[in-house]
Amino acid sequence: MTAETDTAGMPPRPADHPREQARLSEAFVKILYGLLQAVRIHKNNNRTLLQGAGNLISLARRMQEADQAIVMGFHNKRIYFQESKLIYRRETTGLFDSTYDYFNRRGIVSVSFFPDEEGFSVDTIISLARLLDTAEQHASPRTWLETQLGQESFDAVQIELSSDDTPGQNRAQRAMRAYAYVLRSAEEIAEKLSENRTAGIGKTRRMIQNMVDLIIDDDYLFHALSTIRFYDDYTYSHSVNVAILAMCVGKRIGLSKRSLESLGICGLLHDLGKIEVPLEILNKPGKLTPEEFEEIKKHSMNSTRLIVKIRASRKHLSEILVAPFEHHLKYDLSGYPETNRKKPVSLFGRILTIADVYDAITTPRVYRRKTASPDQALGYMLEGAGKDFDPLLLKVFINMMGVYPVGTLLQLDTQETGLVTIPPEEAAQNGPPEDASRPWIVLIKKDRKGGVGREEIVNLSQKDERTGAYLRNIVRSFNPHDYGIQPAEVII
Amino acid sequence: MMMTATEAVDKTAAPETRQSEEKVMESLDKAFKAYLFYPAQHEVCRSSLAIAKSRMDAYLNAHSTLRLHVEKHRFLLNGEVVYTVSSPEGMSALLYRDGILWIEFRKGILLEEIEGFFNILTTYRHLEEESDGDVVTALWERNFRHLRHEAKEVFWEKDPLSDFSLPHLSGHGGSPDSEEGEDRTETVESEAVVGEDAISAAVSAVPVNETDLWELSEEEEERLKEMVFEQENLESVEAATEVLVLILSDKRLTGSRKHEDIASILKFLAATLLETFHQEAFSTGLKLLKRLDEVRTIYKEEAPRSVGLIDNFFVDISSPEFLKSLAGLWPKLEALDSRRIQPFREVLLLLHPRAIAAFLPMRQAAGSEKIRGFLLTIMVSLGEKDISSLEELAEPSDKGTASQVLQILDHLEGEGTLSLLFRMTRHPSRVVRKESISLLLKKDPGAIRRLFPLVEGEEEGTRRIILGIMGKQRNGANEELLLDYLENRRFRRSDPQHLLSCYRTLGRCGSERSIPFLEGTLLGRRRTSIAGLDNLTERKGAALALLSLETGEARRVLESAARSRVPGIRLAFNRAMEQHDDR
Repeated sequence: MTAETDTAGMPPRPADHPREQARLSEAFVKILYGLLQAVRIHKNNNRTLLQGAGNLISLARRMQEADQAIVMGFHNKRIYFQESKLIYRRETTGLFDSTYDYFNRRGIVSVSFFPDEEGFSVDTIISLARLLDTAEQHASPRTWLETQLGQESFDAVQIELSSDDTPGQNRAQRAMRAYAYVLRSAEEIAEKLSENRTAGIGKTRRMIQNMVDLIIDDDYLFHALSTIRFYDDYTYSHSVNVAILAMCVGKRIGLSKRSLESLGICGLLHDLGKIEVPLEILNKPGKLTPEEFEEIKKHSMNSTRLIVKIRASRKHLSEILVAPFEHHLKYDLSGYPETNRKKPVSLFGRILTIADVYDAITTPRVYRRKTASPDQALGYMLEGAGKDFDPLLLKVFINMMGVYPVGTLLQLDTQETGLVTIPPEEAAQNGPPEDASRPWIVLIKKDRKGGVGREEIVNLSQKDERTGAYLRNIVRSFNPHDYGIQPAEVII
Repeated sequence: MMMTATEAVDKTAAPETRQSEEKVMESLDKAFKAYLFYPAQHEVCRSSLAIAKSRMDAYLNAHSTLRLHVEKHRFLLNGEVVYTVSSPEGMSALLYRDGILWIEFRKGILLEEIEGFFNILTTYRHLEEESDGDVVTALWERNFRHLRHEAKEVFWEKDPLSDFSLPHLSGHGGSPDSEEGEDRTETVESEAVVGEDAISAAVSAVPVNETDLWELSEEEEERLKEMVFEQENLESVEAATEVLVLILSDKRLTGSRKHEDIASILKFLAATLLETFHQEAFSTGLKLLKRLDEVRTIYKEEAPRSVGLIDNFFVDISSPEFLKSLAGLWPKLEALDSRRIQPFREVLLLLHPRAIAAFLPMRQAAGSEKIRGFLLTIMVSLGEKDISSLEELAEPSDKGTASQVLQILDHLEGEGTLSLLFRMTRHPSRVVRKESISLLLKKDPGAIRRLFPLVEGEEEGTRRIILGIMGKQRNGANEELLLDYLENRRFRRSDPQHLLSCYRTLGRCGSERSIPFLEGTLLGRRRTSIAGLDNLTERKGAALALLSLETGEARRVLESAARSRVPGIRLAFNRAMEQHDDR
């Protein structure tokens, strides 16, 4: 056993250095997660298992400050050490997410380790790992753990469980994770294709299927998620948003799950061709020259050309080739690519066009002075009904989004400001508010750090009982992103 | 594959329940193994599946569900190990590999559902890194009513960034311009600041009171249903094909990757074409090939360097490897009427003539006269386009193939056909040689001049055929050939019968023009033996020829021979008469 040896090649630097502390925390998560996986397949006397537990003990002692316990917390899809959020790096994101997921599935909100306690031993660590592993075999791991911990506690380790199962929160977390996974899978495909490597659709399908399930369950949650904007990664967040909005429309009109999957992939890959457009054109702040615009116009055709190269069954490819080609073709067949094709734009293509334009014009870009607020975007799009957009599908879209779409920043006559939201219970039971002009909003306030703090959720339909007048009235709408607000972060 | 029943004891389950669980697991695993090693319709598969289903039903009738938690080499039920599988291709390993946490069989499960589950496992038994799906995506797609599962969201190593932290926004200024090249979003009037009290009237871009702008009428709901129905029943292949052909024809498809892009699109289209065959969607396949033919024309004018790619596509889809899947189509085709077959015929006619190599054995194997006739007409048309494929097939081929080539050539005309037929007269097969000569002379009697040297050949049959054809009617050209052959004694064969046949043929095709030569041969004394032939043979041959000429002058010469004082002449005459009478 090498319990006292250094772990993961850590340099012997003082643990109180913040960067060193962060590295040790990373190493701790790595060893712990490895141990939790190893216990699934090894017996207690296995060398790997014993070594892992020894390393964990050694590292815990090294990390310990004064006589404190090492507290590992799991909250809002982040891992905390001693109440400090663990910094996610690209290399560690997977590990952290898996670890978070592992504890979250068991309803664990924190685990405290007491390295000074006599019972902080290899046996204890392995018993803990075994207990956690067994928990997942039960219908409710959290309840089972609660019972077990009531019967048998550990001297040197303390587990805190969530107050109860919180499906709503889990759903939101799953949705956010799904967003991130889908985003990453789009990036991966683009990266591989641009490097002329093979790209399979398998992972993307899996993520989109997951998203379809969640959307079927609660599409309002995804309205909020579709307000996410990653400015450094515009094309990909835009693609995920288009996929989400398109799937939400698809759900509204009654498409099957199978078709929603295809539609989602179409949305995700519709701008794939942009990887071949020079960045200086894509991000050009000024007006495009005719030549540059011609270059931009190639992207929809190029998307289809690149999609053909993806490793997928011919059937799947057939279903996802056409809409990306058509997404800049307008309802009246103007737009681009200019071909002699006379066929009407496909249903998927018409849905994508709506989702694409909506997301594009509500996203701040370097080449645009101002960005439309979500409700203004809908108004603008209405002007193009029948010409640019399928009027019926646009109706569905506006009906779905509401006059004030989720995420719209509203200024009220009470000097308050809020973001349009739909309370989870409302979404689950009643759908959108009856009066579309008076949505639910979450009030927000600037915090001291320049960010935005969330306050109460209010219903704009509420009236003064005495006068019968509305308590709050909308004065004006804005695009939250123009003010540095990421609505999803506030709403979800 | 090693599997053992668990030694673990479920503390809560009754022994009979435990036994029932183990029986279900054993039978399920056995059925899956059968699926791995036998075709689905094999008796072993069917019977093991039936046993598994029966045991599963028995268990589910008592317990409603069977939820198995998945570990790499074992299944757990209620926290206890119920089955252990050591094989990397065992059910648990495959499910575990794709991140499935548990799988649940529910009461009412259908045989097709269990079978479908096995199909998925076998389909994704070997998973490539860049696959088009896995067990989880397939289960999701099939959506079995009585088979549930839960899987990890992510099962691969590299997870994505899931941080939604607020990004810093800066530099949103700049010229108004949208992706479409013009700023279409100038609807926000000013740079308002959250919290400022410059409040004006409420702004809503969608008029809130005009609900008909965004509320759906019943008719519109109905129209949406129709749209969805159309989408759900859409044949996406045709639309996809159309778009890809548009891309191929587009001039903007340029750059260093052009050829690679065209190749990948063509590869997809080839697979699509194959699928149209399987689905008997012949019109779709025809459209595809016609469009590609048009693309080829465009390339000839605008991108000559890419023409080869389209040509190669047509060659590839005409190869026996590609077309072998048609083998299963012929019996179905027989039942179709000509209207349905017509587009298929047109598809095949657009193939490269190399397709003949694929069709020949199919025709040979076809039991139906209709299909044999159909394939023959296709091959004839392809052969008309370019005979070189037939040439490749004919020469080194076996007798059967060569005979089929001859059947095609029978319907073809032109110098290429004659030339190939001439080459086939040297085919190793005697039958083929004979058929080739017949066909060649049938098509071009003038070809006899080229064939005539074969009368000197080893093959008696060949010689007989040639002479037989030459002697079918009076023919000056044939007479000239034989006259030259006999008069100038160009023969090298020491075969009296051959010489006699030549004389006889001369008599059948000849005229008065030959009589001086024949008279000299029969009545003259100048000839000496050559090539082992004595004067008697030649005199007899001349007599036979004169007998066949059946002219007055011929009879006069023959009478002279009959009355000749030279015994050899009389003998020759008498022998000839005997032989002539025998015929």
